[in-house]
Amino acid sequence: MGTEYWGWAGEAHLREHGESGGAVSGLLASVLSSYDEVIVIRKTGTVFEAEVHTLDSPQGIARVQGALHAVSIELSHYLQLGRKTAIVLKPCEARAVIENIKRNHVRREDVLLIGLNCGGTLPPVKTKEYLRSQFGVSPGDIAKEEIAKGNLIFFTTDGQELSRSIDELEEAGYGRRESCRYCDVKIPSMCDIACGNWGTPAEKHITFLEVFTDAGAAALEAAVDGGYVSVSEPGEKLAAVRKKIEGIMVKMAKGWQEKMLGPFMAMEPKERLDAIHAALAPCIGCYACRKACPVCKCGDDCKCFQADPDDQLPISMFHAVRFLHLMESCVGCGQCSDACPMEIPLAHLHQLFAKAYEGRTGYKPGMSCGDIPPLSRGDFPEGY
Amino acid sequence: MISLKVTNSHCPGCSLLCGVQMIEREGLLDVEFMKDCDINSGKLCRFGIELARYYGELQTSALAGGREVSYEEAVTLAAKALSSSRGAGVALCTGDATTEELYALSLFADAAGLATTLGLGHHMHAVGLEAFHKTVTHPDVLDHAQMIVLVDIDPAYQYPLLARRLMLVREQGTTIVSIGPEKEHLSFYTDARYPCHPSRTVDALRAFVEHAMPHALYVVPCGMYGDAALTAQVNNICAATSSRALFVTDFANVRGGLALGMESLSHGIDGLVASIEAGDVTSLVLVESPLFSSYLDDARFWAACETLDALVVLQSHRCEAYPPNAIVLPLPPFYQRKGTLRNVCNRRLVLSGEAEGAVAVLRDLGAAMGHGLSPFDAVAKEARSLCDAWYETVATFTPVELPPQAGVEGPCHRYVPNPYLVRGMPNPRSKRVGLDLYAVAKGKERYVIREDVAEDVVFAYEKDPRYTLPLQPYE
Repeated sequence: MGTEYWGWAGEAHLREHGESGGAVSGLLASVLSSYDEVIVIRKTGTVFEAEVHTLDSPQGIARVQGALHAVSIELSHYLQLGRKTAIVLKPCEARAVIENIKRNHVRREDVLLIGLNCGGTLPPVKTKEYLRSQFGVSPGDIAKEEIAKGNLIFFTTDGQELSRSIDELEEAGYGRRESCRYCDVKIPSMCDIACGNWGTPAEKHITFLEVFTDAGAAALEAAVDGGYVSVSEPGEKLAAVRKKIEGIMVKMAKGWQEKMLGPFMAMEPKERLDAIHAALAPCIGCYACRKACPVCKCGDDCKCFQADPDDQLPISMFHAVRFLHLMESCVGCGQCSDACPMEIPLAHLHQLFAKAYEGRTGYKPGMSCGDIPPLSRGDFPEGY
Repeated sequence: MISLKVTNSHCPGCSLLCGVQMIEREGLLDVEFMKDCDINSGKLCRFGIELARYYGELQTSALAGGREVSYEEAVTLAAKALSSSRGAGVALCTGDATTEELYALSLFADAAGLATTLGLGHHMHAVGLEAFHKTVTHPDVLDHAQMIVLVDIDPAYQYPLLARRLMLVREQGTTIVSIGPEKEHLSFYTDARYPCHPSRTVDALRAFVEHAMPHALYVVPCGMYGDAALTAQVNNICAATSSRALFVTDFANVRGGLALGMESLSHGIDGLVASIEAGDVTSLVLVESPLFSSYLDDARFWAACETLDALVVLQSHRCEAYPPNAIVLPLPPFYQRKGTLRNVCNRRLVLSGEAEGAVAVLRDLGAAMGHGLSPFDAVAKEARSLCDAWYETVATFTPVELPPQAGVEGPCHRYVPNPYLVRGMPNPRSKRVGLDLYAVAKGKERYVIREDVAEDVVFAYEKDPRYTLPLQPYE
């Protein structure tokens, strides 16, 4: 557990613009004196449209977003070796960075990981479709979206509040991306600082900050000293509420894991293999999954390419090698499923292997730079 | 300043025009998935994933007489060659251009006395322009059809994001039927398949329609290698059954060109080559039409082009080589251009780059020949007005006489273009589009016998006994 604060931006315009008092924006403005750049997302149109954005000066910080629920750009792709970078990340992205650090694609001392608590993200096109069909609202008329108290809430530009229970939405095939439903990392404790509005008073516009590392503490201290961020002790009750929210969301995620992965796990090995064959059969060999994967960084030398592309094996060697590789590094971000043009549930399939591996070895990828993958350290549990 | 530039764009790989973000960072180009795009939800086929490679092979310098020259010199030489050409001329753009560029080309062609073509003259001649009109497509046409009939098309290979749409609509209850050569992938998004030899697709369609429900949607490839007899048959079925058609093309903005009335030839590329060989066409302006490396019988095309008085090539993707008489004017890559596009479902889309592309080059070329071209904004306004007017006109299918179906013998299949092949872009990781196979097919007739291309799925099919089975009626 880290050191907890409530925080808000020192500058009025950042406080007004920021989603929860602008603490993250203030922090970013401050860290630019010691980092080469910050990587964030920037809204380009509606709440469904955004792009990756880099800043090397505080100018323009008010125009960037910490996160948008309907935007799931994988920012960890944009880190470069040797460049000092502060980056705002969801837990899955932060876990991907940790995995890249272990593989020497990024140096831990070069990056300041500012994590955002995350209850899940939404597939934009499906969510837009839902808005049109269920509420008769154009996506362009949405000013803001929020996930709170188990509901997905849209605020329209003319002041309406459109709300639906996430459970209901997801039962109907809408709601969060599938990988987000069963993701059980909601507060990014692998980051230097985790930020979010859980555990803050509803009437106040502030951010709950939890500092996990010395680098995070130094960054926050510098931001406070420089007047970029103000902090106070968090209310004890609300800090407990934050933990409670996390607990509820993790429990929900475990339920989804059981629901989505359980049937596969319950199968006999042969039956499971057949199910995997069937799921992979529509693959057209576009390699979009590999391109989208934030952990796979082998480049053109990747072993998954070394098999004959026209092999006639039931599972292509491309996928077989990826299952093996990602078994101990898949962070369950769901980018592979998002990218697949044939709608193969690749994230599910990878998580089948990753969760089984986690169950046997106790190793959960992306949680700490100090956790050495079992395949690297070679000390498997007896009988493995 | 650390540079990172994001350009919202559309993949030029085919007429679906999938949304994609192009990221430029410190001299490197990369692709980012544009998940909010209604066309593809950010998903891309292999060509889309490799767009950075495609855009990395650029024609960056002007060429004349086989050597690099300055842009200004190339413009002067091109203007001189076109002005002094003794016979008829043709301006060809296969479609990887903005509507503004296409309109500028048609204005330029008018002023220079050239005919314009999109390489689809054989289809237009068979069914008329109206068959391609807005009444046959709509952005949601795939989602709302009760039955979709795939005619001689291999969506997973040719237009993978179309295959995805088919899978999704099938889950919603749409019945999907395939008529044409069998493909393994078809089983993932079809309810019934009627395998038939390519030479019998027209007859198969005729038999099928007697059992098909009305108001179906027929999806048929309609590119420069497409069979006009199939287009005509689908047109006639649509006329008889109040059905609709989705004519899918291999290039980005063919529909923009159609809306501008750019197809003025009555034959396709083969006919154009024959006209050049006969000396009827003596000047050719090629805009984003990389036929030197992609036309199946490219040796014949090359030889024909060498006889031209004027051969002016406006090109962004680098061709391996050009005929010695070619005057080449480089264009910026597709994603860097500004302008609008129309995709196969008539969505009006925007390219948000900054370059005028061919509009600027044609303006310079026109000026050198003594005719001007309006500023970009004025060209864009006129083009939009013309396009909008065309799309607002109501048109219907009119029955036409069927042209003969292209003959094909033996256990073979017609040339199946895909985004790599029609752009002459090799894909070293896949035999499907490898240059080795392409080389085998080069110089041969369009229809290639499978034995000649060995382990390939592009040009030919396995001997499949189902081709010989009688067509089963749809129930």
